[in-house]
Amino acid sequence: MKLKELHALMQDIAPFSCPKVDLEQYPTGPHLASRLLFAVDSSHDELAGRTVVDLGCGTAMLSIGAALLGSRHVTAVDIDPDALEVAADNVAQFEDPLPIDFILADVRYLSHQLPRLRADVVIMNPPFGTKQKGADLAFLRSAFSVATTAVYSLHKSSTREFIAKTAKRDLGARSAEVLAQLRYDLPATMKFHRQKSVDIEVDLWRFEVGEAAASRRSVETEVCSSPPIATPPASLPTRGSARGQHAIRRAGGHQHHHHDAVRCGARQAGRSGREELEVESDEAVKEGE
Amino acid sequence: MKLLTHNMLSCHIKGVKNGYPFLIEVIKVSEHEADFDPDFLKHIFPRINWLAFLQGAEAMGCREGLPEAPTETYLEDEQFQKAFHHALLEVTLEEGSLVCPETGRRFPVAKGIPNMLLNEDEC
Repeated sequence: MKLKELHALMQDIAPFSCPKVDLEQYPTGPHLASRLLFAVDSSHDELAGRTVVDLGCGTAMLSIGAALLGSRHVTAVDIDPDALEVAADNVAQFEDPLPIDFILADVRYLSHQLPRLRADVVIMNPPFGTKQKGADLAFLRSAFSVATTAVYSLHKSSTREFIAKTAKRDLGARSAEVLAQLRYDLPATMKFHRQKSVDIEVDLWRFEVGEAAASRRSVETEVCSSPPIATPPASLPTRGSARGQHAIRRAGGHQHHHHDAVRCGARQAGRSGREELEVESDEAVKEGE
Repeated sequence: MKLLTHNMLSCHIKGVKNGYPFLIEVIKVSEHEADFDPDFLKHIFPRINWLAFLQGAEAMGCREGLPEAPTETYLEDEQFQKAFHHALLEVTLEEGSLVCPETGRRFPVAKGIPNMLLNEDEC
């Protein structure tokens, strides 16, 4: 499926009706979500034909995208029944039933409360830990207890070194790679200081789980608001392949937002059969504004 | 909630030792088509606790065609594939409960979503 198709299919996914600040319910708009999932899918081809768990799924934006890209079973977990109600409605919109199951549960305690939950890949847009301290870490721990192959997650760029170290040293990650850097532009309605808005730079991480996790593959007889703006990562430790340098530009708001919707499509370049995102020129972005 | 999900859920109320698998109380079940993918069935088979799967299938009315103790070779047989696929991915518990086999505690399932949140005294 092409990125444009994926984006179009995700257009009508409704956001939170009343985002809960304490749960850090920043919506992932269809523009960001489709590009994020496309980057995941095209860089490692780990979604199609596989199982996925979405931790803190909110309105199921990422889960729906994963299902559209061919995941055979998605388990989407969230603590907020109101969000899951919107999520279920979002899934119901699709004519062909999507292979998504929801679970109402506390992601922070998953390894204690649902220790048998497993998937090839975990995808998540977790709380940053600005409201509940340590929430980002708790989510990461849970992700590593679930995933048998890889974890894809968004974390504040300011925590980059800490996240890399924690993932490798404490959670047994075999590798930790930032696939792209994005910027959340949170307006004053989220009550950040007196400024009109606050920018939070965020990294899209891919962690490869370590041996202990991989061996769990067989059973024992056991924000509301503006979409993020992306900039290319500056000097990141990547695997040296150009694939690591995806840039996702900001666009597409929902009517919900204060800001006018800004659209820009990312061009795709075919490269040895794989589609990659190219950085959109500044003129194109300005045109949209 | 489909049986693939049920296969991964367990009860961990404080002190519980045998909280798996959940018994399923059915009020309403629905069926729908899912993409048939034999490669996926081969991929997921080693992760399925077959006994729990059979028990769940019995409760959800899709036990037919499922052998007692299949081995990997069964995965080449189309009849088995179809029965496995159907029970695993095409039958949804819409309304009902998951019941802890040790304590009898009910975890309600409403609109297909199981509520696995534990009360404070259960953690």
